[in-house]
Amino acid sequence: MPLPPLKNTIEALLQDVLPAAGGATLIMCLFLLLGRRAAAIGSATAIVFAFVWANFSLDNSISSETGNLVWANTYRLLPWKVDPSSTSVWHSIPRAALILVIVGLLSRWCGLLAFWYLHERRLPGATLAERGSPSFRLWWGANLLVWLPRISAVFVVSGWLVSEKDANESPWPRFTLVATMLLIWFILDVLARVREGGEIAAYLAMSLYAAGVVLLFSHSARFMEIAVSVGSAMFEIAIAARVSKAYVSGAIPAGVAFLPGLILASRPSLPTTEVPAISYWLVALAPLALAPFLIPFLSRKNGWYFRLIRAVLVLVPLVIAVVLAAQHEQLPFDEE
Amino acid sequence: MTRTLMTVFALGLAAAVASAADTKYPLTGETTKLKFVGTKAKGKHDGGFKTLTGTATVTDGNLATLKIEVDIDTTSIWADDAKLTEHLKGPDFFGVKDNPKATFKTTKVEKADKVYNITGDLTMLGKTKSIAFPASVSEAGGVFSFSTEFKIDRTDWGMTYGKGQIDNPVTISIAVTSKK
Repeated sequence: MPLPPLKNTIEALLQDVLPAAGGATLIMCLFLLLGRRAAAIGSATAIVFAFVWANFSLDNSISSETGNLVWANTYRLLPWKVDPSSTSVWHSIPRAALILVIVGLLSRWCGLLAFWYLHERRLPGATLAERGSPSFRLWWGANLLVWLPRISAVFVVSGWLVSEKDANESPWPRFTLVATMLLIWFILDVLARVREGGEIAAYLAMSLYAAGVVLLFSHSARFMEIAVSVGSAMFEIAIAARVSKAYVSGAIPAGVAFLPGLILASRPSLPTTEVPAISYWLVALAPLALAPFLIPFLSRKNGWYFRLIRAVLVLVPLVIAVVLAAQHEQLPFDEE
Repeated sequence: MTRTLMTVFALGLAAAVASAADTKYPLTGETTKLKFVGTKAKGKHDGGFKTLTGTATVTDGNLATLKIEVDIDTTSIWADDAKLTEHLKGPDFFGVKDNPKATFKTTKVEKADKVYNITGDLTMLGKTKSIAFPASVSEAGGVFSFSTEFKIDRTDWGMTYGKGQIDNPVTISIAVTSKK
């Protein structure tokens, strides 16, 4: 597989990897100073801050008319402000990610509060084992409080990520996007909450890096840079979580928006290339390979053998996707 | 009978005068060469658009009344390199799948010493900005000629990708030779 020229690699490192990774590390460290309990909100803040940092540029931000700084023009890859008349749905991906991150945190807190409140009211002072079946019903109730807002949020943001034209032609693009986003969110969220450390964030980072490669073969350097930026931030969050043994489920919703958003929702905007459709789908659905680990028997298996199996399960579809893309299309650098 | 003939004659005369007043010249990919040159630190690339449709209208032979309306098919973009052509079609630059059309419409034409100063609205990537440029314009023997070369800042239309690596100003050249 041909590699990008060194010059372009260094530029991507300086403009995407370092700002995103540095921003995420800084924020994660600040939150971890408050303790491991702050890691979830810290990871959510870190992914947002990292993207803002990687997407920020002062070029062309000074108004030629007033000489003042125009915040809306300080973006490098994705506009901060979505133009309602714009037909480019990918402009809405950061807005979708922000909404999902906020809803993810708030719904989790609501669920925890509801569970704790109802639990204490029904059987104060009792242990979980003593409470028996009522706690199971409460657990389901609390989960409904968590997932109903999330399902609603995914449904709303999916409307931003499918163009009016595509939505009018068929309901399937939006339906598949909603299903993909919800399945990824559910699987990764459950797995990220039952095991400390950044393993799940690392899988999401791998998926985003693979998305970057496939998008580069699709002749979209802009989308590649976005995927690499978010992937780098996610990778740093994974490292911080690994070092501190913290839970970082707060960052997952950003990946839920960016991964299917870039690789599936933005496909209609990409130029016609020879990259096969299966490459995009394999990358978007790679996190679903972790689904077997939702089975209670497997979910808490954390030995190196099971970690290896999980990593291989995610890596295999990603590698296949990248190889297929490389076999069918060339990188745009050489000729340009 | 005489009244009817007079009416038909008057209508015919009016039609003849009207058609003589407004002369429309078709603008197509054949009659109009729309090219651009993009530059970067170590080189440049030529490109253009193969397909466009529109009209240039001149009233009473007065070129200061020139009105140009043209729709440019952005999917017909070409460059001096096949891979670059595909890249230009993508969301890094023209995003032709989302924005298959660019338009230009004159809003003001003023006669200067030897040229005409053309002002108009250029719509690309869903954004409309006013641009102004000098152009050589002539009309003789039923042939309309128009030529110009000027620069626009691509970032004014949100084409921001590659800032710092690819120069923001892009040189546009237009050459029209059209018969009515």
